[in-house]
Amino acid sequence: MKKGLLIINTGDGKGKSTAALGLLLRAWGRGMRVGMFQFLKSGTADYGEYRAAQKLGIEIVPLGDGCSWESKDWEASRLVNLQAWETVKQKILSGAYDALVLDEFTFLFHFGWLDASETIQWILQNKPPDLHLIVTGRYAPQELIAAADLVTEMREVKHHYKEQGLTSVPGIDR
Amino acid sequence: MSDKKGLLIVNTGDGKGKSTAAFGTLLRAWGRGMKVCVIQFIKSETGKWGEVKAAQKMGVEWLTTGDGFTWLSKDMDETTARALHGWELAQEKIASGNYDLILLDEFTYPLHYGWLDTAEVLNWLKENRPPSLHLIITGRSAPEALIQAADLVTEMKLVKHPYEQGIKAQAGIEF
Repeated sequence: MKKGLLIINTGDGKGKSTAALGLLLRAWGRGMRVGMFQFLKSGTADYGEYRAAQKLGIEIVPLGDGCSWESKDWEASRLVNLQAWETVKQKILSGAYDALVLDEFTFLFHFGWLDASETIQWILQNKPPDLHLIVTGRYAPQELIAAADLVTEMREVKHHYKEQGLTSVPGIDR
Repeated sequence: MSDKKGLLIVNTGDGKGKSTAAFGTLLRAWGRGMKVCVIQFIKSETGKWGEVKAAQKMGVEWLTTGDGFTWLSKDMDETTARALHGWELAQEKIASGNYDLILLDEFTYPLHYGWLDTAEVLNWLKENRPPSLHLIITGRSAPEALIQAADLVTEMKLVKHPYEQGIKAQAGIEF
């Protein structure tokens, strides 16, 4: 029996989005139809994964406005990210994918922009049964964890930025 | 400090995503035109894995401990001999200076089980690893000395797993 999994990568460590990318790569290797839609992140950032995705013809689409805790216009960010969720809902309903990554999606719950219970209910009712859905980001809400099939917490043990004063490394961190 | 320093990265823990995150990093580096290579310890070499298929399409060099392996020793079991052979392959690739990033997938196991001596491996790396080479090591039970030597260590912790609910491993997702 085929069942599309709901997968959550959460925690304060590295590797949440990166493992989701690895999973897309694996699925793409099997000829599956894959895509990654990114919340928060904006199209102006220079990420190694965009370049790789372009070369491979994998869809990686930033839908955010690059907002962070220091964001100047919080209300504008909220609207951009809620609009992004409307876009992603259509992608989920389209049936055009075998695996979809919703990158940094947990923040929409964390910031109180979306209600976790309502959103999960929508996903469970509308997700095509075979579609694998991967959600990444810190602070995954309990309701989401309860609904998921596979949940991994990435825990930071040691980090080169903090401990050695290194900056983010192209090709590794971004 | 220069950002040209090669990092020693360890993905360990009992959860999913150790190798998968390493593949993601590999993809990112490959996207930037970096030279990457994978040496896979432990896993079988059927070539049916989704990641191996992807690597083939991408033209990424992907070696397993069985590559060029010939059975010569009578004094050790095959698992140990293969691990040693894999490490020899890895040493060759690392010392060559031809790569920007090398992934030693599931490499913690030969260390954990004592097929390879962790202190000797770390010493060898200290003396022979090109300074700008990024090295990623994955697998459960990373030895303490390896964690000490690493720049970045992440523990993938299992919170919930579909096997628990009787759902079988899914092609393209888990392998």
